[in-house]
Amino acid sequence: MKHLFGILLVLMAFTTMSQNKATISGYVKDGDSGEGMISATVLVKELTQGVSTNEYGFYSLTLEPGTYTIEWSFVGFNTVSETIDLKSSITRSVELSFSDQMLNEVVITGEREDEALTSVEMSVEKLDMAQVKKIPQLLGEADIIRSIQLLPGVTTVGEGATGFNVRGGNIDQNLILLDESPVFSSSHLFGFFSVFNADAIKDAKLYKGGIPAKFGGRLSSVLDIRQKDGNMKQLEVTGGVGLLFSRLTIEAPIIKDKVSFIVSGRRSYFDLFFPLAPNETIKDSKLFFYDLNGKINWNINEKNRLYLSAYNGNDVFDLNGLFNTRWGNQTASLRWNHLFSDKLFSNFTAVFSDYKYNLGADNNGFAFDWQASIRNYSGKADFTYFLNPKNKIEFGWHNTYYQFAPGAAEANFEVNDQVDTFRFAVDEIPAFETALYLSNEQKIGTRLTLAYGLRWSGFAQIGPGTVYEYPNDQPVDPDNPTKAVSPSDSTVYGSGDIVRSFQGPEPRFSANFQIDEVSSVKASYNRMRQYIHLISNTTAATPVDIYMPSGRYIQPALADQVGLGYFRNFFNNSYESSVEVYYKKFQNLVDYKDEAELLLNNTLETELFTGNGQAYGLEVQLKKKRGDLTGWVSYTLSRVEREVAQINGGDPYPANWDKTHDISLVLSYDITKRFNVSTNFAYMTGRPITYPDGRFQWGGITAPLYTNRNGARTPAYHRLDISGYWNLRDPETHKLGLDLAFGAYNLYARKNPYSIYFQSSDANPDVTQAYQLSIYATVIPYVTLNFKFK
Amino acid sequence: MLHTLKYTFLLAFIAVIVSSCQEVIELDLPPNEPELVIEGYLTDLDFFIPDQDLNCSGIITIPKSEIEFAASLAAAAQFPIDSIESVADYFPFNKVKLSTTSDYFSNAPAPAVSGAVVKLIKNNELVETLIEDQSIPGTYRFTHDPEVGASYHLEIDALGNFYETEPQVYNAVPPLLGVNAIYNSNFLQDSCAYYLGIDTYEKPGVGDHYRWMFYINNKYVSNPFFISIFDDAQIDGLCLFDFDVYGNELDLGDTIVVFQMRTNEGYSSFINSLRNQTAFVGSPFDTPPAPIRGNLNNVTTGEKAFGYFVAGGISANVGFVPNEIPEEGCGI
Repeated sequence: MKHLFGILLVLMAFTTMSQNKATISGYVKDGDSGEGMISATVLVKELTQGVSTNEYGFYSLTLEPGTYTIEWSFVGFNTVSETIDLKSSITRSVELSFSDQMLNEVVITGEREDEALTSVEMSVEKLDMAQVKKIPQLLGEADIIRSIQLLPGVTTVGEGATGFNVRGGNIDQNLILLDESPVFSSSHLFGFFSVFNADAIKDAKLYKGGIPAKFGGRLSSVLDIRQKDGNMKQLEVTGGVGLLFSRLTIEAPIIKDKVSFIVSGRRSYFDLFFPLAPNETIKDSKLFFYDLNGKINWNINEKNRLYLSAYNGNDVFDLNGLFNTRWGNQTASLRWNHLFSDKLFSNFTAVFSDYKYNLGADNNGFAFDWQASIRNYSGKADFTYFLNPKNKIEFGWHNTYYQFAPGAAEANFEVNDQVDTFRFAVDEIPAFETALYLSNEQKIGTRLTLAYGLRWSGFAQIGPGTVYEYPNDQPVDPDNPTKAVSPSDSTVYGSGDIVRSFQGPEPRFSANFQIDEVSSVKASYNRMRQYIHLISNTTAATPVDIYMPSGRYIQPALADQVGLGYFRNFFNNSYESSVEVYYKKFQNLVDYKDEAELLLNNTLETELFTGNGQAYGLEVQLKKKRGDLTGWVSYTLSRVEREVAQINGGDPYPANWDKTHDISLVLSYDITKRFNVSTNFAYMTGRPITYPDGRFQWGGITAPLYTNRNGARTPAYHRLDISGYWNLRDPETHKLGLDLAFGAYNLYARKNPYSIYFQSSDANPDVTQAYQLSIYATVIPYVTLNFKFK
Repeated sequence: MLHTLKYTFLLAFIAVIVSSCQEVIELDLPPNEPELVIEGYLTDLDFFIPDQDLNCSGIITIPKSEIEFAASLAAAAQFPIDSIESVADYFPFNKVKLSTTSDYFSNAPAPAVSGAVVKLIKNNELVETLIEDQSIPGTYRFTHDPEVGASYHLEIDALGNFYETEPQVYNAVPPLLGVNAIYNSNFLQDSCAYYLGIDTYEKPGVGDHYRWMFYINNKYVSNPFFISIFDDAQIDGLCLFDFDVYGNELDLGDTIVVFQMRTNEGYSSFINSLRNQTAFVGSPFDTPPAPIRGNLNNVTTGEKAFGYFVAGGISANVGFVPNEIPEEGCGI
């Protein structure tokens, strides 16, 4: 395995021998805003070969000298076509305009609308932000995460559960990047809303499989979200006023076509209604979340660009001092795009990310505060070498320094004007992660495209810190796993000492064989390694669960995934269909003892088990991309199992997010150019749950007997939402554009079971009953007024 | 404690932000195969004999004026001892209750197991065979006066099987010096009210576990939400005054009897599990359903049976809530 890098280099060298050639390179931008366009197509008509722009809108094509017709295109935009006599390398940046404004003689070429067929990427979902805004959403808030949950292969434990699960992975197995900064909690209010303000987002892409070598660190998916760069042409103000949220985004050039900025803010104001509550405690409580996004984009010259972006979002809840909590992400990234040559694009990134969360109380002489955080600093160097139209090589080096603070608590008691303070903290844990990668996307002939690469990652837990020793080096007694094991000794590590290190290869492979113009088959394999673990023992993870690194007793988790898919387009690419199957094997997943004590525990390893798992499934999707009616219907048949020797007698059991059948229907219909109606319907099998096998009485309490973890299921989940979108004033023809979004979530007021639980009656403990908890038990209407000024 | 805070908070959060709905539903569950359940307490019933090594001159965690401390001791001295023994008679101290598991929706008291042979073993020697109380089927009484430091376990012939409990070392319990009603606002409640505060101390040496049980106006508080257990990791060797182990408001005029039991980690784990699986259920942030593991083994089948037998000292005391709120208001 250690020679794989060498083999890859030789392979690429073999395929890349070239003679005198010329390169055409540049950026493809949105003509309206100057934003770089991601995945725009640059096609050489004569060769029927082309490339896509990268995340920054850059492209490079190296060709034999000659005369070529080059087309720059992007779905929904007018194609620009130019005949170029390519004798030597040139730079050509183009700006594309919206197709609504297209002239009669210009025809949109449909060739790149078959992206799903021709791209070697598999199991990738690109989210169209315009579509996201039309999907009926809870309280009308355009929401990337909730939209993702309508895609095949993506599930959630239930409404009110934070995060999302991709192809059997837990929520911590998703690498969520916002302008290349990792985001640890993607949800506000325990999963009701995502942290991403759609007004500030340019592009979002979800990789469920076939994950490129440039991504790593998580087992199951990558959600790559790019913020808008800021309008380079003119001032633009967008916003919306809703019943419970408002948002405002301002973007403008500082120096036209040179420097631009965008700032965007969103805040909920549920708590404005609290003073109306009859309960005194609620009257003075706070409950809100906010997001602030900002970015400056400096186009220094043709070879250099600088992006400084930042995000700060928090959830704040204070029940009048009785409880308070706050959790949120802060991220910042500074990126420098540099062209070493017209074929070698580079991006250097410095990233800061901090996820902090706390629980506390401050009431009548008693103050308590528990807080935890995970902070990291990253430096990344990424390179793309556009060798020729048939080969695109990517390589890079990523380094991350982590500081895990699993928990520190302080309690203050004030009695008779004297304050006593108790403090307790779990040791902070530093760690370091590094990764090198090299990959190539290679077209072989006209039908076959391969993407192959290798990522080599390493991780070390480092000092200072204390690591506890256990008899036989086992923090869990294999003969009696529920019994607490006490440390027999401890080892103190100095600053920078390596406590434990890991490393290993992560091969990646994808292939696309285009059968004909309308169909292709794809296959992929990826191995992923994950060195950080979410430690949670609740049914649905909470934003205040802790993260721990791999170390002396926690091994890195591994996932191997293979996928196979058939893709077919119909009616001149108006319809896309796909069928994918996948199998994923997990190793070294962290699980926990029953009733594990996870908070403020310096010997957390004594509460944890390690197990394996598997996930497999079939995903079918039919998407209509053009016309007045657009949308998709998807079906997923899947199974997610965990197997831990100490749980369920060692028998496999379904994970909490295992949903056998999952059907989504998303439709949007433009009745007129200014009025649109949309609907979505979701159906899925109920989630696994544990039912009691009986009961016993003890100490006046009637308790359930549980033996078979997740051996039953809640009733099925289904929900219908509708929305309308009325363009009152067109922003293209008026200085101030207005539109009204309205709709209803859970239209037929389905009481979807979040959980079923078992409890005895307060009045008579001999009587035991089953209860169903539904998070949204009614229809939730909404109306939002959106505006756009420019 | 932190766990409780976390879950309570999460429940409150959900209650505030969503219009969630909980309703009783009908379900078909498979029939239960009956298995033995044990509930047993071996103790000395010397609730008011103070421990001889009482020494509160060390670190005092929550300062309290000497006058108030003296007042709480005086209240303890006025407590009518006879009545607490009658309360204890209601509670199964120094008894073993045997019953069986049943269908989850059986909705009847647990079937008692009569005619069992229950033997008390001390340091691996038979001490006594318990006699079944003919007036209370399934109840077997100890007569043995336990010895501090001795190891006890039970052997049981019942339901055609042979059962054994895991051994329990009998430890003495610190005395409960006072049970006070404190007019204050505790951190889990917003409004000012009387709250329970006990005076006791903790023996030096980490690893002790305590449970408190409450009778309010002669009624046992069985609501699992108020199960009160604590280990000494944070309070080792300390004297504790006005230590709120109940966490709920008291009503004016209430009489509160508190039992303080010194136990062990296994019992704590069992009680903790019992509480989590019965009180903290229903929210998205519950601990998932899990077996409640006791210390009774079915030797015949090699499987776990249910319930817990515990041996340990128990102290008790009583407190009285005044009939009116103090003029000074909160914070006394």
